Amino acid sequence: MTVTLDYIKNLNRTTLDDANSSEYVNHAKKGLSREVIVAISKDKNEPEWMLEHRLNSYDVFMSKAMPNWGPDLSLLDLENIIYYARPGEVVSSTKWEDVPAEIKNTFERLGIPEAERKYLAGAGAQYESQNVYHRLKEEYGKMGVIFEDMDAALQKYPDLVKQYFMKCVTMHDHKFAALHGAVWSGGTFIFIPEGVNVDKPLQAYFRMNAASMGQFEHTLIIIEKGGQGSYIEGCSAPKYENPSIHAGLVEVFVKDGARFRYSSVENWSRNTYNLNTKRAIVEKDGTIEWIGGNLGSGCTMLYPCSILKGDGARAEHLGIAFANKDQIQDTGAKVIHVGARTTSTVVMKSISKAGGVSVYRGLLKILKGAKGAKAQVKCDALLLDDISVSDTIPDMQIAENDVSIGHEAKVGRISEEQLFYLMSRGITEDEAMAMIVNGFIEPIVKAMPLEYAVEMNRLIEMEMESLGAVG
Amino acid sequence: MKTKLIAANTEEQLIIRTAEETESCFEITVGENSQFSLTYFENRNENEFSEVTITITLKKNAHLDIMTAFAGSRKSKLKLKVIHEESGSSSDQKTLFFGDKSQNFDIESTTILDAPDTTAKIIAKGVLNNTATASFDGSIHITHNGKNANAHLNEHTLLLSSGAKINAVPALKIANNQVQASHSASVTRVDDEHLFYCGARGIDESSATKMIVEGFLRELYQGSNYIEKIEPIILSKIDQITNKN
Repeated sequence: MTVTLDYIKNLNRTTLDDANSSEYVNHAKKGLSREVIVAISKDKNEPEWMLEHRLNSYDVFMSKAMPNWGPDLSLLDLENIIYYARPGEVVSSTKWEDVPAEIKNTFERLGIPEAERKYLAGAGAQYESQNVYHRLKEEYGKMGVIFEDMDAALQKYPDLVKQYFMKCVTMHDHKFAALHGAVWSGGTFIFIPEGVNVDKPLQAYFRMNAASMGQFEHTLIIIEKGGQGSYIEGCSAPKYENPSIHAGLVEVFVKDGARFRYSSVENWSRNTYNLNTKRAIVEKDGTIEWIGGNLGSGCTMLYPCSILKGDGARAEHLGIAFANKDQIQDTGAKVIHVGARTTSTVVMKSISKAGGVSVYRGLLKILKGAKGAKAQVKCDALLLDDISVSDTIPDMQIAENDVSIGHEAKVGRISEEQLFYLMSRGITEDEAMAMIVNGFIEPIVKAMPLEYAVEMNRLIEMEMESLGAVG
Repeated sequence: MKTKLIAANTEEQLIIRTAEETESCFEITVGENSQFSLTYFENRNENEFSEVTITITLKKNAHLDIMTAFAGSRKSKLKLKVIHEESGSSSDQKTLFFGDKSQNFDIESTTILDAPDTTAKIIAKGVLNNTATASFDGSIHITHNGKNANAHLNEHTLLLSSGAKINAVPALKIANNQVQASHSASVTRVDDEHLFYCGARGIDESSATKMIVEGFLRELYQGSNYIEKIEPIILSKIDQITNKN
């Protein structure tokens, strides 16, 4: 199969930053109240228990304080956010032709349908709070695989959803989990039956279009015993003056011996607060892999978490964060070892440029009884100039002695020698910088599917270009 | 509070033994081109509590050698702050802790490099037995002024029993790109392979453990000004461990 990557070549900041008209939000209500929540639930024709869950979450949200650590969230005016908006009279469709032209164009420019035709097992696209497209290749449907948008899944498989929904991350977890519980809309539901291997990735793309939007998609993934699969998520939004918020929630249940890989390339615009929560519970001998690229958004607080509950469970976290001008990338990984002989590896790379702040905030917790647990954490930070900032704050709580734990972190800059070597071979300074940065993040990009790896490199290049020469 | 100023171009030593010390807060400034060596030894008896704060400021080209060792007390807290205020200053910081029974050590070590060409080397090693717990927060801040700063932190903990707990938070906060900064941390138990190696040579498990623990810690106190006082206490603690196991 030949793969053309034209859409990636043509990808530039304008493609991502341009907005469509968004008249449909003119009469959308800003701010949050019980009425808004009841209206969302009614609009979606949800079962009673879900409305109850939303209202309970709202009460928890109101009672919880804002986080008193990490980046400053004082500019995020939660009263001025549109919590729910449908882009006109759109319904989720399984046919690309049915998607309204304007929305279709947006996704086409981002290369969504082309990617699906070429290498995906299924794809979904969400625009504002509404899924506009969702399709799974027939052969996988026949094996019992479910790949639906979350709203549809709630209608079609209410019992399955009820059994797992917000059981991994509860509304009491933190303020934004409660907010999510109250106003969630859209997202992805994946169910892989026992022993089924979905060998091609499933994908969803999330796009915010209007100003002051809030996107709260819920992703629920259940992999039954011995199942295997992978999922890729892409996100972007146009650029505005007013802050918008993304508080998605991802729950992954990996059962005995199952294996799942969750990749995401997050490229929200600079006015977005990305306050996402991702967590997996891994049973006996299961494996979860998190691969993440955090490039966009003005402020990110995202710490994917793996709870290694069963004996022999394994987690792997790979991540890149790129903090450019006015960006705070507060990311990390949390791993909680509960079962015996559980292992985890965390590799995080961060790049700070033009005054950007990147923070690795990690938690490694070994509970009593996690005998023979092994954990390795490695953080590398690259500072491209002398006004940027890099922090590394790993927290290790070890309550078991039969363990092997290692953590290491390094902060540095691009060496003059490497630059000189490349420039003496006729490469300009900017190109040389970009090459070195690409080399720095390679181990993580390599773990992504080809198309995403190329896109990731292109996005990094765009970040490198955006302010002219670096260094 | 006790303040102390070490004049420029001098060499000085200070030994703080908590059992004989009444002061709990120290502020020390090390003058230009001076060398200062501080040994802090937690040797209270095992039902006492202690909480000490030490702040040391380093002037131009000043050098600090500091050794903090924790063996005694029921519960001990130390807040150590080393500020590299002027260029060319350097510090060599060592922390050693050995907890058994239900001892608790809470160590907060902050090193701020706020001037060009400053160097800090921090190494912490700890052993915890029975239900002893410890927390080691070792952070390095290199500010925007810290051009060509060089800072490294290593911390290693050996857990001898399943009831022991360690909470380690090594942090790096870097706001300058012309720096070399790193930290590493590890938590392990006595390696089975090492025990087997010794066993194969006729050394029983308890003697082998003793040798391994001693070797693990010796690196730290070997060059200490206070070795003759620290060593016997560490060795007697090691003896107690192996006899029990």
